[in-house]
Amino acid sequence: MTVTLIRGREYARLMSELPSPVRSLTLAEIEHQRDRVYEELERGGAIRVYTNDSQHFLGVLTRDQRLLDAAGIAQLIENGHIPPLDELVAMDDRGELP
Amino acid sequence: MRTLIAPLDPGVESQLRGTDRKRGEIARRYIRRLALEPHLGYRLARGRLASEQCRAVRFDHDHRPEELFGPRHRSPRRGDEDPGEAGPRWRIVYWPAETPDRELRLIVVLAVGVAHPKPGQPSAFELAERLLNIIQQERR
Repeated sequence: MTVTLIRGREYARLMSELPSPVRSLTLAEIEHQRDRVYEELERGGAIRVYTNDSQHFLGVLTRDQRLLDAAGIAQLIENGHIPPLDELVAMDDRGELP
Repeated sequence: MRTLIAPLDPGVESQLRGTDRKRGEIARRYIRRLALEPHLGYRLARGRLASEQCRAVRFDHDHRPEELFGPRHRSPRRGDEDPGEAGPRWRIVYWPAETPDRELRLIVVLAVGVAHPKPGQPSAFELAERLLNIIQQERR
C-alpha cells in the first residue's frame, strides 16, 4: 500500500480543481522555456498565452484531459475522419461500427 | 458512458488485411472488446503517442480476446531471450477520448502491427504516429 501525504495548501488546490501553477507568458517565452512549461502543464498548471508584443491575449494553454479530448474529437469530425457524434451513435445502433 | 469504436481508417484496414487471417481476426476481436474495456491496453510511455495518452494492446496468434481474465497460459520467456523478442509481438495502438459531458467515449484505432519489426519496416508505433499526424492535420 502506498500512502501519500498531501499538505493543506496542496489539498485545497487539488480539491478546487483549479489549475496550478498559472503564469502569463508570450509565445516567445513559451518557446524559450519549453521544458519548464511542459512540466508545469503536466503538473496541472495552465499558461495564459499572449502575443510576443503582449498586446493580445490568445488563450490558455492546458493539458486538462477534458479539453484535450474535446479538441481531439472535434478535430477528427472537422477534418472528416469521423462522422458527427450523433451519426456515429446511430451507426453504432445499426451495428455498423467495428 | 457509452464507448464507440470509430470506423477504421483505410490504412488500418489495410494493415489488418496484411496480417495472416488468424491474427487479423484476433485483432478485430480485441478492437471490439475495447468497446467494453477501453483501458485494456497499457499506456504508452514515450514520445508523441504518450503525450496524446495513447494506449496499446499486446496480442499474438495464441490469444483469445474473449478471455476477460487473461490468457490461460502464457508463453514463458527463456533467460537468453531479448525481452523485445519475447511475448506477444503484435500491438493494436489506439487513442481513447471522452466527450466533455462524459456521455461518450471514442476509441480511434491508429495502427495494428508488429512492435519490434525487422530493420527497414515500420513498427506499430511508427504507423500509429503517422496516422495521428495525418488525422490531426488542419483541413486544407
